[in-house]
Amino acid sequence: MSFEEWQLIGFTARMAALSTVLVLPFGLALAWCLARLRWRGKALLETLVTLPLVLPPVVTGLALLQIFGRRGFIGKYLHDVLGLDVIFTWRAVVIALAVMSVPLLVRAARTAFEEVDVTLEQIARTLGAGEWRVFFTVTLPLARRGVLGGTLLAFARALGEFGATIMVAGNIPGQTTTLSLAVYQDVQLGRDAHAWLLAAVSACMALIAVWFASAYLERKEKG
Amino acid sequence: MTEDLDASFVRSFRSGWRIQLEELRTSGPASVTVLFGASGSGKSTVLRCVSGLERPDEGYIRFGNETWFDGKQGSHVSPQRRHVGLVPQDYALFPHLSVTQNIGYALAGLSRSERAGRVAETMRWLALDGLEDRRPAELSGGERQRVALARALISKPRLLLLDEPLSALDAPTRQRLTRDLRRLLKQLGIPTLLVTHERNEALALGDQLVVLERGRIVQRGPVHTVFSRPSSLAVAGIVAMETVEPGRVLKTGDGLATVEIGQSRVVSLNSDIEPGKDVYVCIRAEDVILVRGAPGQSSPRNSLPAKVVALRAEGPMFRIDLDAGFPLSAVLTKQACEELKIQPGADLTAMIKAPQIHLIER
Repeated sequence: MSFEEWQLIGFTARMAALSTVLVLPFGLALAWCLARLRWRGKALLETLVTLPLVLPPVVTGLALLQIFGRRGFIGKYLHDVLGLDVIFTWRAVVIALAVMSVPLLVRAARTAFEEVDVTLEQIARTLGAGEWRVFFTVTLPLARRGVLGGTLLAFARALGEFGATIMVAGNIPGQTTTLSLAVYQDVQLGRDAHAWLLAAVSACMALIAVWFASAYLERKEKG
Repeated sequence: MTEDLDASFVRSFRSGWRIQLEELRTSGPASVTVLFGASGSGKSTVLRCVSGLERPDEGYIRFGNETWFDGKQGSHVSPQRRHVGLVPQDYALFPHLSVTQNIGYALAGLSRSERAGRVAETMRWLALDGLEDRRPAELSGGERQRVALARALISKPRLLLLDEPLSALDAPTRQRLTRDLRRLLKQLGIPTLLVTHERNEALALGDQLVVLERGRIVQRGPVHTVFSRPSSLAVAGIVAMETVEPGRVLKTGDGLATVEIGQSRVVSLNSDIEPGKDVYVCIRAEDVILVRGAPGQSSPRNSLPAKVVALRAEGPMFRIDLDAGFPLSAVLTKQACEELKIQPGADLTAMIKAPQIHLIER
């Protein structure tokens, strides 16, 4: 494989990793709220988080385009105050990947949190532990398999994202092109052999991530 | 100064189920107050409210001169600040932590070396040496119980709450550990509130007994008084009709023990209680056989002259209070009562087989 192809693989992996890291604290907090708290609006949030899983990715991309565009309510702030442009940059790639992969993390982590015996958390409280300590010393360690599995699944999803990415980040070679966008472009230009090569690479990466993810999630069920 | 729990509160649930507790009190350091009731009578909820994990709807929970909960002011002290040692039913040890880490959990504020010292000291005291690096899954039931106790006791709690501390153990272990636990609770000098539905556990561990039925206190008093003189039929149903009298083992041998109760002596089976020990002598009313006239030759080891004090109908049966040198209860059918011409003042002989006299060491 050529230098450019390695660069493409590296860029895709970096973007997916970055989006996963960004999504992790947010996704875990969300999963915990859904698993442990009872509040009004919970059902609404639950629906919103699951939405990217079932909407056409292109529609999610369109919504992100609205929100992060220079006139969008977040994009305007970022442009005017911080001087940051999002749309059609690598930042848009990360955001698209993050939004598309967060449902997988939240679902896995929520189930894992719900399986932790609340008596253990309550005992920790009677032993003087505050909520943060309870979470980091009891809840998270006991839910670690599910959380890890969900994280890997989210990473795998990010690696292969296409629809939302092409809407908000475009397909700018060397700047926003990820593996899946490159495969699409190759097919468009009739470079079928090259498309197949990239597709194979992409499949390998996904396979490895999913294999680890299911290994963790499965052992959780047995344990 | 002795600090005691004083709680009166109401906790209602959406299902209509309601706990209304009036003046639940502990009685000084080293005292064990047993909250006794069938499962589903609300015992565990009471412990959860006292420890701060659940919030009552109204009423108050006080400890010493602190107010932990006040429904009128809406104040509620968090479980972290109550310094209560809670040992739940299945011990709830942290499965991902070692024995040392479990026991040291409450000492997060101390330095590493200080914590290690305290943990080692507590482990030695509860005979847990050698188990430092084990996980809870690798411990026996008895070891788990001691680890849970160590974890609750290491931060020197002011009140100890035990939820059926022996129910997770198999029968032989339970018998052995009951005595150890009693000794430990006496040594600690912390007021203890213990929840159980086992009569043996209540008798072996408790000083004061509070009987709970459907979320309400129906009787309270010294353990053996409540057991032997239930104030109502409802309480008698919960504690089961039984004679419970304090006594002392005089001599043992051949698997039997001779026990002195008041002015009388009875013979019972004995496993390992030594002479000189204080015991509760328990006799179920159903196991007492009444014979008219003076004792003759018979197989039961115990033939006691007994005078009828009172009798009253309880359903199809008659409950007979006797004076056999100690208060003794018997139940007979109406027919048997008529044939034996039982009436207050009648002199009878009460016969009880040795295996039907149950000793509980104190």
